[in-house]
Amino acid sequence: MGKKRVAIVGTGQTFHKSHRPDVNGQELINEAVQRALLDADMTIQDIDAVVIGNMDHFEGINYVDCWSVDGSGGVMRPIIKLTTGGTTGSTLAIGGYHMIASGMFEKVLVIGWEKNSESDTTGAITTAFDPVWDRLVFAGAISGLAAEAQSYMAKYGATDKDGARVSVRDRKHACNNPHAQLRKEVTIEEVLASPMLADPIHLLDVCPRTDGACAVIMACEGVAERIAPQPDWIWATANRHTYSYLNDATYGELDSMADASKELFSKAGIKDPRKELDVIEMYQPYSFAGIIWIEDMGIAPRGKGAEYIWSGATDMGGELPINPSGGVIACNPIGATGLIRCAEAALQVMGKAEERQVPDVSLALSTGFGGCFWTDTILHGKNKPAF
Amino acid sequence: MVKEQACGALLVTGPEKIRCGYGNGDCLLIDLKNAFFALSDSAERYSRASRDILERLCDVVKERGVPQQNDEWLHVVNSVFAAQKYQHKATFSLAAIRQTGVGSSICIINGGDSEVAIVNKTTRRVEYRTEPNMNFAGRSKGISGVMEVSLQGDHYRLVMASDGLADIARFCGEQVTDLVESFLSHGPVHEIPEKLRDLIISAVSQGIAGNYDDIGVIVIDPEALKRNTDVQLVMGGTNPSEEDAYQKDIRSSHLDGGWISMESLPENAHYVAKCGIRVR
Repeated sequence: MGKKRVAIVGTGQTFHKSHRPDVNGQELINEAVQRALLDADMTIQDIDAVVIGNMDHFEGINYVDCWSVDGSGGVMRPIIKLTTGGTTGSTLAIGGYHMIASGMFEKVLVIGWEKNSESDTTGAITTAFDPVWDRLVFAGAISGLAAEAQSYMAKYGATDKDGARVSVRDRKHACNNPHAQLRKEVTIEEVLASPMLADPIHLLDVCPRTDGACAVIMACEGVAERIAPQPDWIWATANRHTYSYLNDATYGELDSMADASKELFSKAGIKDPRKELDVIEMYQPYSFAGIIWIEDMGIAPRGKGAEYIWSGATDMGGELPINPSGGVIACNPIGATGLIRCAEAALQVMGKAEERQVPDVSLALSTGFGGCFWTDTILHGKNKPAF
Repeated sequence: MVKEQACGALLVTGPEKIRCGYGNGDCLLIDLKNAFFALSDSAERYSRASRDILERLCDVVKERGVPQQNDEWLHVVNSVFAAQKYQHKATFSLAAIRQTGVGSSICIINGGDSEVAIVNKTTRRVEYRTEPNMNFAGRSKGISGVMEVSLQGDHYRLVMASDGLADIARFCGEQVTDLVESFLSHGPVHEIPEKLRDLIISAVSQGIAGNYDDIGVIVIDPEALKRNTDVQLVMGGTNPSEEDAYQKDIRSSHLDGGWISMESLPENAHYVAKCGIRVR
């Protein structure tokens, strides 16, 4: 049995907000599922299997795959739960892709969700770190990110103003996205004047905590074309989980991003991603990642990421717009965040991104980031992949 | 509270709901002319859910006419259920009364953990009581079963209650069935709400009732229904602003603690509507 081509045919996102006391987790999931089904003009009866995930230790719900069926529509259907840290959402997309590409399922519903208002995010993240070697110096997510930014600044002379430029970009882009939690433009001065959380990261450099869910419907070739006039074809996926101990990381670079994107571009025959990609939806939880990680992708030379950002090339209307949705800095329901990147890239390819649409998108890249500096990458295309 | 010799009703908002600024999730529907009654209970996350489903029931009955058969009632209820959003879960209990010449026939449809009970006023025993189930409106697209209870004579009383009644029973150290038998099964039906209110006040003053759920109760003597009052009343399922209006405006007005006669309803329509009571 050969590998099947796979496409995204429908997406749905909830109303994302810091607190959604109007819905419980199942209802949040259902909100996204219903919107995805509506987008694809399908019913839950059309779905063959469900892939679902969140950071289950955040909300403290055991057997999320079982508990959620009331909202997911997964009753008496094959369900797989995946949890891989911050990459959960993008891993869900890769999981759904594999299920269809294997030829075992035709239509798969992929759901990522998080109700951060009911979780202790920092406490839960800290449990991942080694109690002897890591926990004394790393608490939650921000400490490792601050170390990464400091290393980059020391190595290449970047400043916190460079990071602020990325934040200004994404927060401006978010104003075009009705799903974004934070839709307010800021200035570089405002970013730099916002409270310092972990040097050099200011409050406005980082992502918020969000309640939200995202659902994506994937279908195999032969089915996808009948559902969507312009499916979003998945050309390739690649991911890397690199090290276990944070002290093993190469700070100032993201090895997992470099390796995964190298494999991804190789699979798709992409030689010059800067020229060949039309848009990137990057899981970028804080501003400096927008500089460092595009260097790992090969978009900008080492140490030149900030210069590329300042040129305006990654703004809407630029050479390679990054995060037209506003990205993670504007909205971060963690278990859904990677899947939102995937859904937003799909919308760009399908031409359904409305006010945030980048013209003539043929190839889009979405990424996921999480855990101990892990990376997922997914390449989306308007045309069917060549394999 | 509504005063009518054939029917008494009580709607109380839980103190924690008031403190936190939520609405009252319990909602009551009383139609004296057409002799059907309904009760719904939704969570404070969206307290209007209970009102939505009862209002929709009123609209469907108005459009299609009052069902005369059990399966017609079930059809109506299922159409009302089907339109309830998944996020707006609520219990649903309906009792429709038909006179039979030798007594009454009661059509009962129940989804969720509110309940309908029939108590014998002579023996003071509960003779029928619905069981809780998971057919909450919003969660289920319909209810499969309808129960018909035939009553002979005039010694039966119908009780509909949200799960808040269990809190009053708790104050008395009793189960709900015990409370219905000991407290709701005798005496003029229109006096029961005041008695229940006094129980709550007493429990609060004794420090027994620190907190309790919203409480919705309807008590009906089927044989006493004269069907000469052309009024349909929907109360509760308030949003926070309506609840706030009730707490601030009504409780500081001449209406607090008193009765509004049917004749004086029009002149008090402003107050009534503002706090989430709809008369039609």
